[in-house]
Amino acid sequence: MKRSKDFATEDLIHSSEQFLEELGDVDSITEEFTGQAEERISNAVRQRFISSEDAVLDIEIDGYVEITVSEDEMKAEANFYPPSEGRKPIDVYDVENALQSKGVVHGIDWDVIKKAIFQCNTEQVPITDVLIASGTKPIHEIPEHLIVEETLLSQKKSLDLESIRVDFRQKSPFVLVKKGDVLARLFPKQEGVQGATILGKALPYSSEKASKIEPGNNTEKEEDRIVASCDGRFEHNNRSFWVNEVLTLERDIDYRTGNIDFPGDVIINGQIKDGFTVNSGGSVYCNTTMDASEVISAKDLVVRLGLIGRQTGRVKVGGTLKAKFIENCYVEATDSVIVDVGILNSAVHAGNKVELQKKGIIVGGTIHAQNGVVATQLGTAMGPKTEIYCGTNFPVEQKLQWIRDKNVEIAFKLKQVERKLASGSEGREKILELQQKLKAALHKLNEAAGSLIFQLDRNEEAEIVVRDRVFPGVYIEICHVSYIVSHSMRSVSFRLDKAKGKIVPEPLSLKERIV
Amino acid sequence: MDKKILVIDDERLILDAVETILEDFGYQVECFENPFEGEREAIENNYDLILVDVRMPDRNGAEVTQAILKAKPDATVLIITAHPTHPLAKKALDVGAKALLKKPFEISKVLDFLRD
Repeated sequence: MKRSKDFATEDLIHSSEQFLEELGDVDSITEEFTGQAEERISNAVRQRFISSEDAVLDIEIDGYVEITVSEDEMKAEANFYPPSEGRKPIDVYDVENALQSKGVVHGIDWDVIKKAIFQCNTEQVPITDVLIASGTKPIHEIPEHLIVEETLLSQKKSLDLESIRVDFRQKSPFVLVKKGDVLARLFPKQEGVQGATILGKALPYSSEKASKIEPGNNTEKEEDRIVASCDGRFEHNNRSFWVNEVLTLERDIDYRTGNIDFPGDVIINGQIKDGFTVNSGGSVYCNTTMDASEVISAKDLVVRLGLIGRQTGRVKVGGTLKAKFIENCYVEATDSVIVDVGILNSAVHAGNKVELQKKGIIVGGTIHAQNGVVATQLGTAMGPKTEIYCGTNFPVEQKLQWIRDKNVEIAFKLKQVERKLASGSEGREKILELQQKLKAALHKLNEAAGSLIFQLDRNEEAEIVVRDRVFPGVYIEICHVSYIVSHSMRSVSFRLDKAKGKIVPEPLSLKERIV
Repeated sequence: MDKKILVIDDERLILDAVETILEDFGYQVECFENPFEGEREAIENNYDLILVDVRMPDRNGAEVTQAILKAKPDATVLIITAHPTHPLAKKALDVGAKALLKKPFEISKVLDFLRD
């Protein structure tokens, strides 16, 4: 109260002095009553009126409250004024009366009101602009609808600055999902609820239109979610979303596509630019020539034209590989390798067979085919060395070869250690300790080799069939038994004669030649 | 394992490596740098497997193989060579060697031929 009174008094003094100053001018104005003078008088009178109002504050009054209702009738604000000294403070009834007089009946926040009253009365200060009542907005009715996961929609567009510093070959523009990934969430129907203004006027709700996007292929409903029913590429438009098991690349695989790492089938209609890799969880179909830097296909690989490996090209196929030709390429296929025209200077490993069609030739390189090779021609008159290995499991051979390499290294080291010990070098104890470690490592590797040898899966029935001609110098091995072709032969097959432990060439029957 | 292996190679390093590795498997391994001495040993004693280097001074692997198999036609001789299509390797195969081992040796083939 004191603070309020002091303020009013100071204001009064100030306004009064100003008034008196202006009043002194009035005499002169009466002589020349112009529009300008009229305005000055008006201002003076107005100022006096205002001052008079302020002067009222000095009058002893009870505490009171002023309430303002917004134009949209959705809120009411109040100013709480404290009483003069000794006068009645504001109470809840005052506010009730004030609200009643304004017609406010809905959304009244009595907690806020009581708090404001308490503060105003105890601190003796005006509390202004207090929101004391709010209208209730209607809740609009929304039908059941799906909302696609934001992360799926934003993946394609996002480009973080960090990517500027990383290998763009690793960046994929495709949104890939795994089986079970959440694609969208189902939101149930939201019932409409009527609202009200603070004056109690009802506000009806409306019915909103929700997105009508529908789940498409390779999606399934799981409770309130739509999930991917297979691994693949997430795709969508305004009406639907789905998972595509097949990735079709119309253009080249380059910096625009990045390396391809796709869980399903991949169809390549362009070229694979140098240094870019393809990794498919399904099959890969290439409609042109494939320049393979590194292609890994969990299932089959079909190349309509040739498979060219350059020097470092590596192709790994979980199923069958079919191509028109293979050149300068390292190939591993779990099943067969089927080629139309020829395999040139390549290292081809097939878990089953290597089969060349009617005019198919194998020239240069090495062919490992556990269950045999069929070709029209093997080697050339002057060409590079051609080696054919059949009957054994190549991955096991590879592991045994790795063990061999390590063992040879260890054996050389052991010899060095022995020489040191024999020469009486210093640190004998340490050298002895090293010797024990090396021997232990060698023994461990040999144990592994001893187990692997039983997994070699010898196929003693594997044969190499040459429909037309095999040239001298071609090296053939079936179940580790060696044979070098010494002279040109026609229409011949090479089989292992188990009794003799030798490879024997036999002429093909007419039927075999045609097949 | 009581199987016996004879290795004839003029390169001491190869002999040492093969001996160290195969002995760890439990095989009895005899090594000869001199092809004549090795050949004599092969003829005078019985071995389950004989490994012969194809290129040696004074007497090549094909000649050694031929001499051994002439005396012991049932012996299993494998040829150690850097190049499977080397003419001497072919000659050794022609005279009865079973297989070629790429240098220094191929553990898979050795173990495979020693399998019961």
